[in-house]
Amino acid sequence: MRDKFMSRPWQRRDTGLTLRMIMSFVILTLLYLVFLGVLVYLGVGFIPITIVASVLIIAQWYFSDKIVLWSSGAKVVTREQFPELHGLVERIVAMNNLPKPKIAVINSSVPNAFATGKSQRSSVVAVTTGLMDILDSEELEGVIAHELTHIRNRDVLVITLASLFSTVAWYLMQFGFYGGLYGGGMGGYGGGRDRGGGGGAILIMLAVAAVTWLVSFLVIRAISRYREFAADRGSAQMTGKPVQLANALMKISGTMQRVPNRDLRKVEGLNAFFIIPVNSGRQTIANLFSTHPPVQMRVQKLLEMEASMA
Amino acid sequence: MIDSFLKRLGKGGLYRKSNDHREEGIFSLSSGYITLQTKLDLSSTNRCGICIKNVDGTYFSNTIEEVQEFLRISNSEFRTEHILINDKYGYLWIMIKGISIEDILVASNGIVDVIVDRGFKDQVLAVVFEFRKTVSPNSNLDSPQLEPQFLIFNYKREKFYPFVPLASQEKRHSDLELVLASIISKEIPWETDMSVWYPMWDMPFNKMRA
Repeated sequence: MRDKFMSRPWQRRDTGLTLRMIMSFVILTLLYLVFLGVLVYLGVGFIPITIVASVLIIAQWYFSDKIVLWSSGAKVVTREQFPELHGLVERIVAMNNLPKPKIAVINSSVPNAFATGKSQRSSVVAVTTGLMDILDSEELEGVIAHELTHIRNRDVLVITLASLFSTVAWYLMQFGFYGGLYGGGMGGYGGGRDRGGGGGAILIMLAVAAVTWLVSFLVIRAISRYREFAADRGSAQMTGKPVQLANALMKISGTMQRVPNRDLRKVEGLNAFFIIPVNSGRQTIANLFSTHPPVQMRVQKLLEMEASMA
Repeated sequence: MIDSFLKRLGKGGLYRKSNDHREEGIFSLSSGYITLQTKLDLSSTNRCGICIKNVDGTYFSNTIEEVQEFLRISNSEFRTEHILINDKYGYLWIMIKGISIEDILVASNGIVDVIVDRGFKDQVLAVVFEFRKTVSPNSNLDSPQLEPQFLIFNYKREKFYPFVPLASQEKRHSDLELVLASIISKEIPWETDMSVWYPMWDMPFNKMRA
């Protein structure tokens, strides 16, 4: 989910697939919350709760790839089933001295790809059939190299750890709320300011909890966006052809459809076309909450890489 | 080293701010072509086409004759050849071939000036410049990179954009267009809105001897 390749709100997307993945994670998170909430409510002590929470988190970590594959409907495919795809991945990993990941295919017409896995060796790269349909092999290579960089950079681990901090911060806050203990100093991102709060300051506690959660949410998203840029850069280095990934990104996001095919001489009469659109600042807020940077910005950076390689 | 020195020289830092492309118009290519040459091995074929919407009436045809007269008179200076071609879309192309890119820049600018002076500014659609990969002995002659690549200057928006058609069908080499964009977009007035990168199919460049 977190390594999903595209996430622009305006583009055509497979809502079914996206919903399914979001739902699985929402349900899991809710299960945690309810379960731990009940434990706290029942007055179970700090240490047992910590142990239970750790077990749950480790379990999720351990089964993360299974969960992702199951919730996305991805099927691991053999070399015989998809020889070209396997060949393409093998070329990239051989040239960059990486272990070969498992390869999965999702039967969906929407172009998308993701990587998942706890370690380099157990990782899986999944692509949709739609992605293979619209990209040529060089573009597909760019996308797969992007996903392989996520694996090489251990991005799943990084984001899981980052999420862990916020989760821990959240529970400590809750525990403090119920048990009169203070979670200060271990609050992770932005969570350290409740130290020394008075016993009756329930409202302050709630506010701090909310702020902790919000800040860590934004930080995780910022990290995630940064990792996307890093994966783009890694892909460019692996393939040596940043422009192919730029091309792929534009195709996936639908930007490519905006490059017209009608002749200039035919559209000349349409006056509207000569009005230069005003750039609005409305994007900024949306960007803050998004896990992926805007496609345009990624394409721009890739083109700069291309320019510096020439 | 020399490359960046030439670029600076070409940008003419002495008399204009480097960001101010607006007045430069097509003349920005007089430095931009060096970048294309050094970074992409793309050279100007020293051919360009000015695409003008045809108008019925003697005043317009007189203007076109004036343009030809202008080209004849200035021929000694710019060393250009030219032909006129009417296309199937109802546009008139003034195709120019020179010995250097400066020749065709000066000539096409002069032509547009004459047309604008006579009140036909709205008829000028685009000025198109042709480039080709420099052929080396070990180039693969079937490579798509050897097909012509164009920079279209949309006269109304005063911006350049790339156009690399596939030889056979009405399709484009979007990757080559992006490469062009990545290399040259900072140096010449550039169309960043890709939704107006309108193609121009079947341009009459082949009607002219190379």
